[in-house]
Amino acid sequence: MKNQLKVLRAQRDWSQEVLSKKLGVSRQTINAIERDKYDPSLPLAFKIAHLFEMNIEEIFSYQDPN
Amino acid sequence: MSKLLSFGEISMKIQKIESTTIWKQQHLKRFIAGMVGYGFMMPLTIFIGKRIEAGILVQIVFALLPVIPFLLAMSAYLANMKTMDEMWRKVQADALIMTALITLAFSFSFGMLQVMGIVQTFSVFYLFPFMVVIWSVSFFYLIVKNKLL
Repeated sequence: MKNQLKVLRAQRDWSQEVLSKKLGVSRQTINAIERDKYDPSLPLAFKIAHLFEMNIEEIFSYQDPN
Repeated sequence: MSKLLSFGEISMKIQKIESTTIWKQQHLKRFIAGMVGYGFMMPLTIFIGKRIEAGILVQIVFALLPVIPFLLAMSAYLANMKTMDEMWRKVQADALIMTALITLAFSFSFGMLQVMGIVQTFSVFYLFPFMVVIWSVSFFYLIVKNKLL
């Protein structure tokens, strides 16, 4: 799964630390999501979408691993 | 004023440590206390337990004394796991699954070697330190593999 989290965060001039506090997760989790190393759960994905006032599919997009 | 500032700085540093580690302070303290208690009571129990002459019930109670601080440490570990965010909980769960599978493979292999009379008996006493080592290696492997820090 690909995401636009890093771009959206940069647009708002938020650090990973700031975003992690807003979402109630660790900074490492934000870092892992941004590098596509971890796919967030549906509740966290919704929380991210809600924070950025966007739809989930505008932030996350599915990519077939094959 | 400067004293207040230094307190503030200390508080900020603690907050920073908390945000960059996966252990919450109160759980870490309980875990360390439990493990120190376990480490302290185990040799004491073995040393004294082998020398006292008492009924079987007293011996059982005495032999199981180190289990109490051990359970305290494990309850702190579980309580801390509940406070982790979803990614760290997944990493912890993956490390525990790897530990369980490796321990299973090891105990099965050792059991087969025992049945064939190739190796002598293996005390289950060493299973816990064995699992701690395997868990640590698994956890470290997952962190490095996913570049989580």
